[in-house]
Amino acid sequence: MTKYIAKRLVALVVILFFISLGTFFLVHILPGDPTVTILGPNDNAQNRAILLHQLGLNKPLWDQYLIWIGHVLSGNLGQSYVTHQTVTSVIADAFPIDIELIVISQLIAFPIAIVLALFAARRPNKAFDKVATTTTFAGLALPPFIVAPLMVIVFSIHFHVFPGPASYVPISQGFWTNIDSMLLPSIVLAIGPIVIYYRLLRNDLIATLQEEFITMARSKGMTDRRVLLKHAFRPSSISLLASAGINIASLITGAFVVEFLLQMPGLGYELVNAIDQRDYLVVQGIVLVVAVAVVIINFIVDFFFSVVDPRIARD
Amino acid sequence: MTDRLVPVEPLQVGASVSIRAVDADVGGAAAAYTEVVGKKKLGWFFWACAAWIALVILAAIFANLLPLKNPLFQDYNALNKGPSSSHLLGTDDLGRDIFSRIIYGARVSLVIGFGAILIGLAIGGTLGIMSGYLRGKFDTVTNSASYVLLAYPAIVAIIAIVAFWGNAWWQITLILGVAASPLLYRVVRASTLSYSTREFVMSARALGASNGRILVKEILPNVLPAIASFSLIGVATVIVLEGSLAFLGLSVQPPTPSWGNMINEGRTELTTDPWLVLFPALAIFLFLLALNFVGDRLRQHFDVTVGRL
Amino acid sequence: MSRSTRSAGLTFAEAGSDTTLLEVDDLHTTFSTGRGHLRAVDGVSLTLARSETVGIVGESGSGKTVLSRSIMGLVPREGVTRTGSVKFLGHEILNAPDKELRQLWGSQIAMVFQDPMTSLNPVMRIGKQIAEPLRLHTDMDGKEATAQALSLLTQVGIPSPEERLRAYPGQLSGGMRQRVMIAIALACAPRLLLADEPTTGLDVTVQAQILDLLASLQKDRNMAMILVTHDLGVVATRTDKIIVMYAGNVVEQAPTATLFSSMAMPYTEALLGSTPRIANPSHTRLAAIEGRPPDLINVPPGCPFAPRCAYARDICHQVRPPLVPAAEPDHLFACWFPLGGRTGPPPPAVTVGAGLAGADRAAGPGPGAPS
Repeated sequence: MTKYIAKRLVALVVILFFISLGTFFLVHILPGDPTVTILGPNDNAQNRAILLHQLGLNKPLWDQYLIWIGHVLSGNLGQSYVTHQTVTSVIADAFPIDIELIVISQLIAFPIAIVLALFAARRPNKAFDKVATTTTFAGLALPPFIVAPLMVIVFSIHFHVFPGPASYVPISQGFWTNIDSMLLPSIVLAIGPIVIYYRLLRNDLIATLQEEFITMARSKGMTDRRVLLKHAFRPSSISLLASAGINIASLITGAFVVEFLLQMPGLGYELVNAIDQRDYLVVQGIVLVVAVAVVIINFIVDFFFSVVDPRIARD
Repeated sequence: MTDRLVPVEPLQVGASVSIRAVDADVGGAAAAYTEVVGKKKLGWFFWACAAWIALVILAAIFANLLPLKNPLFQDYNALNKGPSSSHLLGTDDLGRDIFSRIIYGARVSLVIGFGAILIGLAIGGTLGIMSGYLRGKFDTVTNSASYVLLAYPAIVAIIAIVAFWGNAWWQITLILGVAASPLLYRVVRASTLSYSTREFVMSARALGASNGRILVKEILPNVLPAIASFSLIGVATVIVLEGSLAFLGLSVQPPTPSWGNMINEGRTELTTDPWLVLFPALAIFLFLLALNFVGDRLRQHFDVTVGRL
Repeated sequence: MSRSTRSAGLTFAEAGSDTTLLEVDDLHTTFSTGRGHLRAVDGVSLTLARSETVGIVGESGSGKTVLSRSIMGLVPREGVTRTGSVKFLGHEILNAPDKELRQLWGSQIAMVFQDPMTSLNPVMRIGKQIAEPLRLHTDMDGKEATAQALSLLTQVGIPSPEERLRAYPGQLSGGMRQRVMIAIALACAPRLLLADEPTTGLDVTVQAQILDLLASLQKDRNMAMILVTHDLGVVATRTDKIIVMYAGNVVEQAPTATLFSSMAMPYTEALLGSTPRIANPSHTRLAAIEGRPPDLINVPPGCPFAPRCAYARDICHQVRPPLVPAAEPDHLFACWFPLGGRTGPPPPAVTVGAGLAGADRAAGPGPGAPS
């Protein structure tokens, strides 16, 4: 068992290394010059050269990488060229918004998807199933950039149910106002996952219901509802949670898009800004943190499920 | 029983559960229920969607030949007008005809969507089929590489690359294509793996067929249907990605119309002139719906390996 | 074990040991498939007394599994039709509403399934799975049910039962899983146990153990058992009577001893011949029966076994033989030209080439029936 963990950890470290490498070179291989942003396009070449030297950007790339990694490992992600805020504080301010968005949207998505899937799998291809599957299917064709503006028109402007864009209020200023401002974005973000979870769970449940042990469970005299919940749902829910866990990458993507659309000061917004201004260190920092978070979450989910699910073979 | 869960191999971190989910999605869970009555028919809606897809593609290709207004012409006498007899779907705030912009805009979305998937298949698909067939060292290396790549949240890389490099249609297509390769690699590999161990392949080899011949004649025809259906859904995803990029101002820039940037431009006028957003949104919605439906149905239809009875 | 059974609305007359427990009359089970109607069980009748054991023997596809499930009622909701009559303790259960059946299942009638690997929930602990029928049908609470599960595990001969309670099915061997299945089935002391190929796939030694276990448990609890298998060797010493099935029909039925001593149907003889015997010298070729079972959707006329029968004659291909009694008591068979020099039923008068007359059910074209 410990050998297994150790193996996995080694692989994790290797992946993290490659990610840091990729992040760094990604940013630096692309054209673009931060000095232009900082000094303005009209400054002369000499000042630029001085600034370049100051920022350490004229060293060979590999050196720059090592310096950067050294700093990162000691907790220093650098400073923004533009605002001089530390990258860490930029991230610390912005990331929680995305996290909260993801959490609330999942709290909405899971119950809806699970309930729909359970009802649909009970009587496959009958009325409820057909309606639910078709409706959720339409959800696939409704990406956030379509839904968000439409929802804003209908729910914020017309019906005044939710506050409109740019209305984010942090928790520190009031719990319920915060939740209020989070609802619309969370619903928008929840649509995609609802579709995915529903389809996955419904198909998984139907497949599970075909298995022999379900017939056996029925033969014990259980009601259909009980069979569904206690026997069919168990193995299927494991698969659902597992795939939800690795879905985290696309959830973060979605969160970035949604918060940008609705003008919330989250990490997506900061990222696009930083890219725009060639704020290298901020870009590197954000990308690195997000990538590392995703990989670690994947790792934990993967590990957790290979331990928890008795069906998976382990070496 | 479906291959829902494949035993975990060593040295695979983070994405092995996702791999299971992907593999399962390709092979089984998505199409597990085979009724006693027989294989699922494609249905009238399937053909309607397929027809719609074909229609949009044809319209985009032959847009020049159609009696459309010039999508770039700015008619200052007809700003923000609603649908009328001269402008079928109205005009935008620069007086351009929305209907023709939507059709020309389809070009961008289609080229980027299909182009990216074709690139992804060329790279990822080839590697995947080789991986699944040859296995061994080649497979271990490429497989592990794909894990690393898939673990990376692609959107940030895409945003960064597009922003730094350029947002011409061909650049975006290339970037999205490369970004799609790892996932297509996995899908093709999973599909190939399930076939390469079957008897007809072994018998072909026993008859002395070369590897290349086997790949092309035996494995490819079997793998193609599954790949085709997955690719259609992939095209839908890429189109969504392009739309999101447009919203961040990172896609093809106006005046060249794309569905995404039309919505982006119309965002500010939502309350006053909602059709600026509604019509392109409708266009995207219908096309995505058709793509997803056709892709999904094909997947169910061709998944003969699963199902009891 | 003291228990009170929750069975609202259903009362069963207290049965003496000779009362008929189960009465099946002309049971037909048909599946609607894309290609037509599949007659899996085509008119089967049998009776079972309180602590009798009946063996149902046949090849795969003979309908024996469908039969046991049809008797119990464990058929899919859609696409299956059953006609006839199934009476359990005098109470008709064939088309009883689900609610009634659920009260019977697990508490009065229980089934041991064929493949323990797929029949146990892989993500639920063993103890929980055994306790389930107890929690459903008795007033026991969690602790009592677990204690009872423990006792059941001991009764079925599983070593270190306390550890096994918390184990998952994947952690047990095939033989142990099968014992767990038996424990589950017997949890509420049912009156009727249907064992569907309980030993297929197990080692020969384990097979014997399982069968012995079933026999002793049955004796202890005064339980009736239906033992479904393809292996005549299994039923030879452990049943009171045997029913031989082919293509959904009963082709021979007799008390066990009678069947082996004076079998009438050529199919039974062929089955016996194809059973491997330890006593045979090694490398003895098994006398496999040539040919394949018939298509159950487009049933050809005549005796279903005729195409593969060594003794078949013209009439066998044209008219289906009825099930008739033999000289020995309780012995029925369906053959125009039975073995052992006895006379079969009088065949109806048919002229070759003149089409069909007589008691044939699936009337097809006349001569030119498949051979």
